[in-house]
Amino acid sequence: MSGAEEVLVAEDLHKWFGKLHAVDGVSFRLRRGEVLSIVGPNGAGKTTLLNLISGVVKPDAGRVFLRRSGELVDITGRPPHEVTRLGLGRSFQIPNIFDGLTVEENILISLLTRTGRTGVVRRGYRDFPELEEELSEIIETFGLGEVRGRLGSELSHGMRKKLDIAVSFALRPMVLLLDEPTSGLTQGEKRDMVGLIKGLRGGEYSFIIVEHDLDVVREVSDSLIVMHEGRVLAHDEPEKVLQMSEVISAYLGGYHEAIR
Amino acid sequence: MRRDAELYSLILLLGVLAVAPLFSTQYTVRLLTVGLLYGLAAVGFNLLYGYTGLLSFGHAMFWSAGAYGLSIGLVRLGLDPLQSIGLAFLLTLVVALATGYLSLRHTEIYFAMLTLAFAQLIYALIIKLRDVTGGDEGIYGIPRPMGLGEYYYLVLAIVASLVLLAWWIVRTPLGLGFQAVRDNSSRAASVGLDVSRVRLVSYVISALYLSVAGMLYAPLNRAITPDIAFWTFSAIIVIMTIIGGVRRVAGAFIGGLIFIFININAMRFTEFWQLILGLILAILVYLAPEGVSGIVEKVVRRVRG
Ligand SMILES: Nc1ncnc2c1ncn2[C@@H]1O[C@H](COP(=O)(O)OP(=O)(O)O)[C@@H](O)[C@H]1O
Ligand SMILES: [Mg+2]
Repeated sequence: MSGAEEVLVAEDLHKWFGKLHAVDGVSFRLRRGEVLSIVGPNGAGKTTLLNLISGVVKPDAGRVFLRRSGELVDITGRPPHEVTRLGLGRSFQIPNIFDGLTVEENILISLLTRTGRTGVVRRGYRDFPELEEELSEIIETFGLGEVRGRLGSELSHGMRKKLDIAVSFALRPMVLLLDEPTSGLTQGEKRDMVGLIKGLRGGEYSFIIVEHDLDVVREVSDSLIVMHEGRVLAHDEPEKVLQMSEVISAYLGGYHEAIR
Repeated sequence: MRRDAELYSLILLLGVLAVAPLFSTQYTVRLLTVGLLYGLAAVGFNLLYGYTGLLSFGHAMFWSAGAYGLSIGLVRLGLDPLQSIGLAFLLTLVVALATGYLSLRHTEIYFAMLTLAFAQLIYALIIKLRDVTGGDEGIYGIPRPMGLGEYYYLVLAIVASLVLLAWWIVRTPLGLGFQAVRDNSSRAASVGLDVSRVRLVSYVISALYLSVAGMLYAPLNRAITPDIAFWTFSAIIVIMTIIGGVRRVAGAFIGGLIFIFININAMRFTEFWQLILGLILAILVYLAPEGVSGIVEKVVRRVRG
């Protein structure tokens, strides 16, 4: 892992909301195949950090670089659709899907944008056999087979969560940001999600996962960041950080509880 | 599949419209022609509203761009029909790109208000530019190349092609992009769709539909007046689409056809026709927000079990 090349670099990122310093000087490097988890209490700035990286929110200072055909390219402040096309996908804390479209159509959009077919009018969107095959694979992988024809609005929370991640995954991004992928899932669904992430880990994909469940964090992560009040308190191997966070919690008072 | 049912309904409906003149008076044929054009306008409007999620309150400006562009070419400039059609399209594109560029930075009510404002600006221009547009008198003596009966079939052929084209567009990757942007524009961006571009494409296509309807309307009527650019006509476009149903291309089309008959009959029996129209709309929005086509679909599904 440590030998693999860097695919994403965040350099001294800052974001203020009025007087609130939501992200305060965050830097880190993510390597190919790495799963980096981020923990921290509510309001620590985790989601905002993902927003800064994916272009949803522009940083007030700092830079983000993404590897692109061998080189690290500055993507700071680029709009989200460009960042996506450069190879960075993300899912959302509150499942963010297309409610008026079926599960299949939701995923198909990603497959169409990835293959540069969004402007096509000569063929119907269901007339791409090569995509249909991949579509079925993804639906299978994410356990969405039973609901493939349902509208997004008709899905349970767990299914929405899976669909959100499936939609991002279908982009085959080099880097995938997952914001609390297991929140609100049943124990069984959680296991499935962990299995999924573990299955993808170590290959071409790199992940940044914001996650509250420390058992999940232990199981899937190669490295771990603890965030608090916009700052990185610790960044190291998961076991080291988790031991350290016991110590941190002692003087932050109840902090360890909070990140659970 | 349910989707094909929409295509069959459309073909059936167009078939009925093809034989309708055989059983109609001149007056009804004329009304049917306007109905077809309203249907076309509603379909075009609905590509933007029902499918891309943008409520324009200024679509009268595109109908007018088509109608005035053609009429100015034919009557004022003495151009031949093809050149006049070219002029009308050019005018429409200029208006659509300029207003689209300026209003598409906003969505929802702000977008609606901006389109309304631009449409009223164009209305004011039409009134002011008397030498070109005839001001509030309008333009008279627009030639129609054939009799009403034949003209009906010309209109039907063009409207049928464009309605079927719209049915197709919403089934292509481009149309799926419209719907993604409608449902969730921030998510659409995060899967790599250029949301502003998608919106602009939809806006321009929608404008072109209205423009063609306006171009076909001018020779039918042989005269045009600025009413067709006034905000009330934009409201009518919105209303008839909602009556028909915004979830489907066929719905909007039916809405246009139904509207002309509600309108004429209500006008014939009472001067409070606008009130009646308002009532019908309110009842529909409360009881059947998916419009007439939504009701039909529900009934069909129930009958089939
Ligand atoms: N768009 C915004 N405008 C103002 N404040 C915001 C905005 N987004 C987040 N915040 C604030 O920034 C802080 C960090 O939020 P967030 O990144 O969502 O935290 P986390 O994901 O770690 O729970 C919170 O105090 C939150 O209220
Ligand atoms: Mg969060």
